[in-house]
Amino acid sequence: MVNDFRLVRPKTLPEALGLLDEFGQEIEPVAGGTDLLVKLEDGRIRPSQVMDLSALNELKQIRLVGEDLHLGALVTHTAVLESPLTRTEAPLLVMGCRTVGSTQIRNMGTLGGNLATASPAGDSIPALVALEAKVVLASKKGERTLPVEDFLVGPGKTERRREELIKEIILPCAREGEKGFYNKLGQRNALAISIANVAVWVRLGERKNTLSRVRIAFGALAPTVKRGRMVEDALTDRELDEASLKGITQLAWKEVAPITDIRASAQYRRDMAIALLYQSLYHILFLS
Amino acid sequence: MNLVEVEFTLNGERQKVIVPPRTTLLEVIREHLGLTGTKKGCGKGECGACTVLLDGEAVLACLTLISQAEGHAVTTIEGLAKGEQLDPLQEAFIEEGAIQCGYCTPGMILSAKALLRKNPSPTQEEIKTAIAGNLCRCTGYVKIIKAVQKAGRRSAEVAAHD
Repeated sequence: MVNDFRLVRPKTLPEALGLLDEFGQEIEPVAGGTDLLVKLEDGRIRPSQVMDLSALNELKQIRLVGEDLHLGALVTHTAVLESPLTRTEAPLLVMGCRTVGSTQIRNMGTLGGNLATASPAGDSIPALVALEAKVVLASKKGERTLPVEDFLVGPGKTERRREELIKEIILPCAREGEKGFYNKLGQRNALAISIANVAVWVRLGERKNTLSRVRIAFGALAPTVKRGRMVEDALTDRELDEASLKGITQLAWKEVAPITDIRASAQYRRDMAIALLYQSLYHILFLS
Repeated sequence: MNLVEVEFTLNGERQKVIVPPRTTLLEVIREHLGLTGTKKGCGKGECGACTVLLDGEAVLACLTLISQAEGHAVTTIEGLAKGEQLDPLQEAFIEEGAIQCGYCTPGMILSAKALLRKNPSPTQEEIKTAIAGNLCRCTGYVKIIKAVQKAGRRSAEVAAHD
């Protein structure tokens, strides 16, 4: 049974930030509600106030600003899939958002909500980390910007302070010569929480079968989404073939720190981290 | 008493409800406004039985706080037929035998409705993606997919004649 919270419904971002400044300790903001409502329903959280953000249309915009794409915190996964801007400028994020939940969940759930919930298995997050996206946190006192990777502290834990709201996410637009791949393993193809996933972003090298920049983010394989810097370094600026790719991707098991839970064992997750990474890079190098 | 006032349209009619803020859209539709076509299944966003349309998009009424419906247009299964005239999707579901126990049907039809609005002639894969969030434990989905394809074709024919 949901507890009897008080509801606040700000109409503008300044109004929302004013409320958080005053009552932040007691307020639970709700964006799409797909995680929060479940937690409210089973009593895992019992806030005294809930802030319904749904009227804040200013946080639903996708904008091109110089070389960057700015995505408001309330942009839904469906909006990411359907926007012509994200399709051309952030195809890796589109791939990640496509695997979130179901159509209904994608229609409701937001990028900001996915980040704030900070599930290690959140499907949009590995793409954001691989793209070196930044998150803008706003409070009454001003704004601060930090890399998504640093924003995530642990399962359900982030750097967001109680008086802050995620305002937007900023990521660099895709350029010529860059490629991305998002690879998810769930118990079935739809509506499944990731057992393991990986997002790979690369800049192709000048020589054939080389990569001049590589960024890898593993999901559901550690307490937070995690960069695979050892593998990234090993893949950079060297000629890759099937055999060397197979060898290098084995390093992935050293990068991840998975747990055993109802969905899979830690050992299986480690094996899948390697397999998903190998598949992704194989696709980027030899199939696309 | 701690209450919240919310105005929205339900199947084209303006509604104003005054309810505790914790009330979900599903509870308002079923308990306060008496339209029981929308079903409660899992209550966690996994089964899709409570699917309704919010401004034409499929959403889960069990995970929507009533305040989130403020100013929006909500459509439930009761809002599809025009008088005695069933929606092409409803007709196709009956003709194809796409209904068995019927519990998933309202949500399934509304997910299909949202799909056909954007994409009148979807492929089988596109239909599967659109209804992936609606569980049916009776039909095996084959007849549901056929019904959605049929309704899409029929709507296209009707549109061509108009």
